[in-house]
Amino acid sequence: MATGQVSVLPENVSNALAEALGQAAERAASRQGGWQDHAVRIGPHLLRLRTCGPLLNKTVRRAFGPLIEYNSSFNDHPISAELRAWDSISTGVPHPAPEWQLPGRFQSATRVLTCDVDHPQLTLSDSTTATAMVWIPDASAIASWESAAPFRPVLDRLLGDAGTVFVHAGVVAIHGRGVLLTGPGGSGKSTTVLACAASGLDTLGDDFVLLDDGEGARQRERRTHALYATARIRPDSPVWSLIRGPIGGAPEQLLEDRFGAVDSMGKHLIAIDEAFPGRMVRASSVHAVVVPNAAHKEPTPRLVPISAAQALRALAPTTLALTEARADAFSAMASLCAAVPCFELRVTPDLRSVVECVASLIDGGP
Amino acid sequence: MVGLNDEHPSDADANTAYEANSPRVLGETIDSETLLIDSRTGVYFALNVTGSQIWAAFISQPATIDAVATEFARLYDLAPDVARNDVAATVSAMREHELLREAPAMAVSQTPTRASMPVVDRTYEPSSIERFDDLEDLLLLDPIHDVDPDRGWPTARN
Repeated sequence: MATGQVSVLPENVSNALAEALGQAAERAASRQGGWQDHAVRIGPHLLRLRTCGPLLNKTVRRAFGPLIEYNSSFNDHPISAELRAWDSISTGVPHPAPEWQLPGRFQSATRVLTCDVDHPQLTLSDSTTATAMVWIPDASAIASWESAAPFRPVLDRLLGDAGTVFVHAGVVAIHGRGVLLTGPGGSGKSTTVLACAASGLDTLGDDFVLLDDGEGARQRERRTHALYATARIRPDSPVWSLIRGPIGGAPEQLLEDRFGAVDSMGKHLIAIDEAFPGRMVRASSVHAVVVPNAAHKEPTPRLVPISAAQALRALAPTTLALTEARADAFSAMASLCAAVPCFELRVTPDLRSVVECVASLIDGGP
Repeated sequence: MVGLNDEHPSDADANTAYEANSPRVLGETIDSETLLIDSRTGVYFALNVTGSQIWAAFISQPATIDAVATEFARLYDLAPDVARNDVAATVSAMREHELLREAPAMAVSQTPTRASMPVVDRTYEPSSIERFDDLEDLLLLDPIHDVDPDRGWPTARN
């Protein structure tokens, strides 16, 4: 929520920076034989994601997976936003603005510049044109968590104002009818979502989704949209035991062969559609908000009704930490919690029963 | 949880008007209960039904404690001193947490003598504010610059 100190970016500096970054981006693309265009459908938005270099291309293809429309023509559909990303190592184009080396966040009337040094990245987004540029020194050094959800703050800026809000939650669905699962780290949110996917339910992701808002959306059925098609999961996660087939039961060498080595957190970065074929879907309705809770003593999982205010208390703070459209997001989440029934899901290590709880809620809910 | 009944009522000047500390404080009311989030400190607050009503009286325009207490007493058929004590203690707590701020002096003369407050079909219970700081670190974490380079959000750098 408090995204650090924001400094003023003078308009003339902003313009010069945009020009320098734009020229560097085009130079980088030409050295790689042009941009690789990815038409990413995120809810009502069509994002033109342009990358160059094999590593960034691979990162994007894995992160957005089935959300990429390979046959889509940008001439036929209006583009909601455009993002260009490149790195120096792959393209040989040096730091486009070497004077910007200190970490910080800078804002002009129309643009936001972010500089990061720990996982180096320079981003410049323009709200009036719904465009952004992202420069990375070395695409092979992108952190695993960044690879799972690349460009998230930039996408929040580009897409957050257009009738949708970012929500820190996962979604599980059956035939397009879904429930939204939310809660802080350790609550069991991701495990529940992935256990459901491993058991044959559909999912829109375990961490971030887009929630419809804006004019008219609150009068209709509440809908969410997938934002990323990846998850991070430990090789010893009980989720693997729910999978039939070659990777069921988590034989670690098989997991490593398929998904690569674990990251610094001991997790595999997986493409959901690859680990759980056919289970990643683009959109669903939301018929309940579910707050998983692993901190209880009950022997079997069960759903306990909670008030809308309690659900909002679980959903809002973690989400508001991530978004810049805070008032809009808060209002949209409150509206959702008030519109659908809300439950605490008391999860246990018996994941099959946890999945049954969620499935019965989706099947039998109002 | 901060119970307000055992706090001493504020000695605030009856002519002082207060207003919601927006846009710093974000508030949403559902099922007559309110969640307030202070975007500067990362602390959030849950108000019960009566706390929500008192908060609502300050949202759309500045109000004085007396104006809010008058309406509060009418809604719940309370003795004036009971209503004023509850409202004054709530305002005091909200000011302490910087959820309310003093309105500009010129606003006082334009403040109605009876505040506007939502009607709720509930039995009176004293106002309460629950304060939560469990996600304070998370809320204050800059998702770009303050996160652990290896773990990412929501893990803060050491």
